[in-house]
Amino acid sequence: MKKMLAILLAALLVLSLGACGNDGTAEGDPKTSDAYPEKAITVIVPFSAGGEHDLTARVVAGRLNEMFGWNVVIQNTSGDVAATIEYMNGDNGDGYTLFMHSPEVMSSNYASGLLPEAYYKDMIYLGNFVYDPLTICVAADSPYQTLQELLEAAKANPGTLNWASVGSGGLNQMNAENLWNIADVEFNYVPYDDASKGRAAVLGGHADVFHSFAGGAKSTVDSGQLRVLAVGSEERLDYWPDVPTLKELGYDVVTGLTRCWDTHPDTDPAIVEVLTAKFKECLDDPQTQQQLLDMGQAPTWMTDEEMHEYGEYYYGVYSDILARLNAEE
Amino acid sequence: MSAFALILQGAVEVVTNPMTLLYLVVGTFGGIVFGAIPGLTGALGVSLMLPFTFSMEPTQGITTLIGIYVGGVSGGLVASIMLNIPGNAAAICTCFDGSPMAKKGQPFRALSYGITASLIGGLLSGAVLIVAASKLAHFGLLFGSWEYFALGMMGMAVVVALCSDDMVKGFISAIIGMILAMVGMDKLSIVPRFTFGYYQLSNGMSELAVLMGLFALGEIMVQVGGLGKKLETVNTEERRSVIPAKGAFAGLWKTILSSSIIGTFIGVLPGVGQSTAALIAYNQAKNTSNTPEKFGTGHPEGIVAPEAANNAVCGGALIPMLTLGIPGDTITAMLMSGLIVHGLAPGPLLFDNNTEVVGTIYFSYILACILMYVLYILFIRHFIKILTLPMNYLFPVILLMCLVGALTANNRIFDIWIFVAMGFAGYIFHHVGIPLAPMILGYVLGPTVELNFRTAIMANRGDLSSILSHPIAMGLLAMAAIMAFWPVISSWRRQKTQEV
Repeated sequence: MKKMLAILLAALLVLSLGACGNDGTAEGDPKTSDAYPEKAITVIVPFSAGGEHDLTARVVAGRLNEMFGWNVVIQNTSGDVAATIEYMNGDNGDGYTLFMHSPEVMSSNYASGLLPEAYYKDMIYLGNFVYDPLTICVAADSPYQTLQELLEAAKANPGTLNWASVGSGGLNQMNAENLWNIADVEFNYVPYDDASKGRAAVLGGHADVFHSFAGGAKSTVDSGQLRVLAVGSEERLDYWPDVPTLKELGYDVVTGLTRCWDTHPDTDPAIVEVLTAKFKECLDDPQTQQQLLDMGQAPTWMTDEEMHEYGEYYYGVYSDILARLNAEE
Repeated sequence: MSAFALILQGAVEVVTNPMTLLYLVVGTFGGIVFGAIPGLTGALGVSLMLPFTFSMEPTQGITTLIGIYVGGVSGGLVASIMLNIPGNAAAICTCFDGSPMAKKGQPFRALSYGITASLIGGLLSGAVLIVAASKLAHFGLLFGSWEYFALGMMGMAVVVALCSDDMVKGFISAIIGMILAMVGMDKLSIVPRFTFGYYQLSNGMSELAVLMGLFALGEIMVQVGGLGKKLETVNTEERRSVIPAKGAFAGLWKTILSSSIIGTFIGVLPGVGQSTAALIAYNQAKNTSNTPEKFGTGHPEGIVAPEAANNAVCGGALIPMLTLGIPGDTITAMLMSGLIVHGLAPGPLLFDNNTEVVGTIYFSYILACILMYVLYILFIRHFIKILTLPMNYLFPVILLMCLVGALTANNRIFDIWIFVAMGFAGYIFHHVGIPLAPMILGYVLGPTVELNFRTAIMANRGDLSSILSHPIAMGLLAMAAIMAFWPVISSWRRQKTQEV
């Protein structure tokens, strides 16, 4: 009996040693990616629990667990710049720690010098889940019925209408400035520290325009408190078929926010392939799509290449705007 | 649908569904425990529980979260009274009079004041929520940046009342608090401030780490000086029940009522929160009391004021969340996402399409307040045993909980270092006589004042005089001035009456 146990233990030891050896030579070995994932996958979401990023991440994680029997765990932290540095500096190349960060946020942080070029270039995007377009909203009792009327009013009195958004100098202001540039108008940019405060300001008549992501404005628009004048997506949104896109209105811009998961540049390409394929499969599933749409998030797949191109385009836009803003100062 | 029909529908929904009822009881109990343990807070409880509610029925999920919310806000009073360490930010003021009363050998009496005030504050704001939600929400929308700035200034004026004995040290403390809150990425201009090149600091000093460092670790280091000594034995003469004795509340109703109104009102205004409400209510109670000199020595009014106010915030904060889809505080923001993930966006549509959800929220909020009271009555005997535990067992456990809490809030080891650093700072402040309460006021209200001032200036294109056309803001600033000069005014009045 004791002998049996000893043999068993020895066998276990050899097996585990073998497993270790396997780990060492894992690079490019198709077997690792076949077995992937062998344990829980942690996704670091650098936003607080309950935010739009977090909700999107949790819906996708829940669907991945249901569809493939994976164990995807969401871990919230705060401060996306610090979290990006920690993730990229850390030993996160094994494919079991993913990160939630969008290419246009990366571009804006790189353009304003908060993150280095290497991160911007090397981050691997595992496809895109949803595209949350920017929307331009006014209060229900506002005199402006169309985007045209709003922009004409802004042209007549440059810089007097208040444009409520979140934070200045970052992604939101650069997106606003870009749009004004294209439309050749001038608003008074008023940053709030939180989207819900900007929304309250517009509802209370303290600001004229609410510039928000569609997901964050949906419930207030649907209840008739806000009127949405235009959306920044490529095509009209399924849940707002009557709302024109900026492109339709003659402003050639697609503006919004991708919500996606990324992985460390050191990750085995075979694992990147598995993850990308499975994420696409998950996103193509009608139930996933329905759950995302219910929260006001429009499922939109993009490849890593497309994400990098998208980031590149916005890097150009943001650099120009920053240069202009700095010149004005 | 009338408020009565709504709550009836909610009652049917909750009572006919035993699982929902069970979740509510467990949530409320869990909330009290999280609130009572320094380092763990109701907000942390809600954020940990939130993902689990995604897979529940929407009404069950929201019921669980409301239980944690109500229990968590009130639970803080236990640690404040028993250990002089606030269980959460909302219970900081409860230390001022709760702990002295417990030290005088009347912990049951102190707890009974705190618990009963929590119940009444919670129920009163619940009644306001049910009867006048939509009217109040639109009142809240009248508040723009200037008004929030003025409200923040009014809160800051409380500093004067908090440290009337040594004003200079009080101001030093408040300014340190404001500076601590400025560390990190500026929320308006994404410029890192006071980070000294450490990217870790760009995330700011997390509230839990700062608060628990200053109050829990600092206080433990102070109390460790008495390690090994036998603790004062609890007075056995005292009634061993938290159900208030007959007549115990005589003369306190005015304080409870006005504190509940303050709490509800502050709850309606998004982003102000429980700790500010408790401080303003405490200050208000002290200013209008016949015996202001008794505050800080274990005076019942000083316990009921903050406790009624902080629980009243809960009902108030649900108002803008339900009627406008704008969260009243950080916890209601999480409650909201618990509904959004099920495709139920809070706002006026909820009252048309999902009356059962609104009714459930109404009913489970009221029931959670009552359950909280019942649970306290049942379990307080066990809580009270904390006092008989030797400190060398108790403190390591509390420290561990603080570390767990500081880490879990952001999943960041760096926050633990902030906690430790703040602990040493708290110890030093204690020994040089710098009071901590103004620091927390500065920490919590500093950003409200600063960010709203900047937003207001930007919205008015640099025109400072635009505040003159905001009557609410001017009124609040006038009240702030009265509060700041109240000690002078009242001593002048006293002199005058003595002369006559």
